[in-house]
Amino acid sequence: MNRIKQTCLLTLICVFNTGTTFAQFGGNTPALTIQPPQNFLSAEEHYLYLLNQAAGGTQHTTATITVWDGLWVAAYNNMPAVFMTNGTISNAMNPGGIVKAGILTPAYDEHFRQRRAEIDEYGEQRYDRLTACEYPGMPRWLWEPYVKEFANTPQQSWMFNDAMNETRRIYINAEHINIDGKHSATGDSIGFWDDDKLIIWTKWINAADYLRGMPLTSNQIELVESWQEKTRADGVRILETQITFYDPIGLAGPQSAVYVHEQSTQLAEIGARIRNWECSTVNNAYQDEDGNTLWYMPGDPQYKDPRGFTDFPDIPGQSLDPLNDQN
Amino acid sequence: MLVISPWALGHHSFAMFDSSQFMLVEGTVLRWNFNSPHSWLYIEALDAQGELVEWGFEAGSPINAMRNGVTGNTFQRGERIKVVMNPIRTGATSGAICFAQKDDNSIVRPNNNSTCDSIRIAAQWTEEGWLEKGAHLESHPAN
Repeated sequence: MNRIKQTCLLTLICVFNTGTTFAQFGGNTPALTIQPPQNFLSAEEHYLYLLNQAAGGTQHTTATITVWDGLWVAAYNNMPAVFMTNGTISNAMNPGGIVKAGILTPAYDEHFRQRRAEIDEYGEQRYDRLTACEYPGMPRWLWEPYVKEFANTPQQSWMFNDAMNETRRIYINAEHINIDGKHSATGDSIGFWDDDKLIIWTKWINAADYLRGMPLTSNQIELVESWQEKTRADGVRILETQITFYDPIGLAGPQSAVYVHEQSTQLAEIGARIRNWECSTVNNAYQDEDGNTLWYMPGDPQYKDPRGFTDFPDIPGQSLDPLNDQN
Repeated sequence: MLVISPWALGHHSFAMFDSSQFMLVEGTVLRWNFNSPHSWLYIEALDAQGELVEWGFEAGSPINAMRNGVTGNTFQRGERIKVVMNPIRTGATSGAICFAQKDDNSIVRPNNNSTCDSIRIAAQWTEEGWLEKGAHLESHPAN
């Protein structure tokens, strides 16, 4: 058997969308950022202002609460424009793009410029924390593939993401609780309803990235989000999320962006369902000592056969692929 | 304004594959790993010395592939197949799959859309007759 070990070499890869570049918007103008009604010093101040404006929030019942049924996919965001002149999702991961000055704190600005220089030199960021199944964190969760579902109840809202099995829970009309005494990938989220808008304050989030090719977030980042379902001109249901990032360590000041999910009837029609992310047993990617992305391949001792992996190969019924292996 | 869907993006870089070249490998399916985060197709093919070697091809995510009509049962162990792929730059027996042709001449597109316009490339390879040239590796530029 030919042993393979793959090295990430220097190349420029033009990542562009082949079919859904504009079609996904149906000719619609992408959503625009709505800036906060005033400058707030913190996410808490912002959230409490909105809560006060909503007179304590709308107390929904199961009969009145907004239903975001169906399968949803990330469709748009303008976050890269926060950090780069003419920043788009396309050039966020590719060479080029001019880093805006004064957005990030010095340490984060320096790291971001180094990251952009690496992309300019190698064509892409050579290694991404998701490659080895590390969490995306927040706000990157909002842009993660591949499919999401949302369930609203009067007490909690649940946001399910296929990628990484990350489920956000938003506790309605509640206080933040950190009985765990630590931060987590998606943090702790509380919220309230303002009619059909779901307002969320999230804190205690692990440090991560805004996106591959974008700046780091610190472990002090907090988010205020406003979610609302809308219908685009082409009739497609969308969930628009206006978000403000408060990161006193990473950001020189609060920044705002908009993210959009769209409902995918196509995925529902073909039978797609959220499946458990099996990264720990099927992923053969890793980072080498030089910072490149590599894969273990058949023949490598570390290789995991995604369909045959088991810690107990001699015991019948342990294969991950009983439909094909029949054992 | 250029925008992009996350559907087109893998959860990691594809920079290790040479997207400027497409190569054909013909062989027998060993495994079709239809898994997140990315699917992999493994086949066995004869090398220039007539020895059987294993090839591994990275494909798109299951959700991406489903959009192209691909499922976990699309490739069956033991079936003959032709794979057109962007080769790994190291020269190892691996690549990023663009599309495959089955024995019944049907085209299958389990690819990651960010690395290959599989509809266009499949049409080009069909029109040029490159798929009929057999099992030996033959490189063709992307355009």
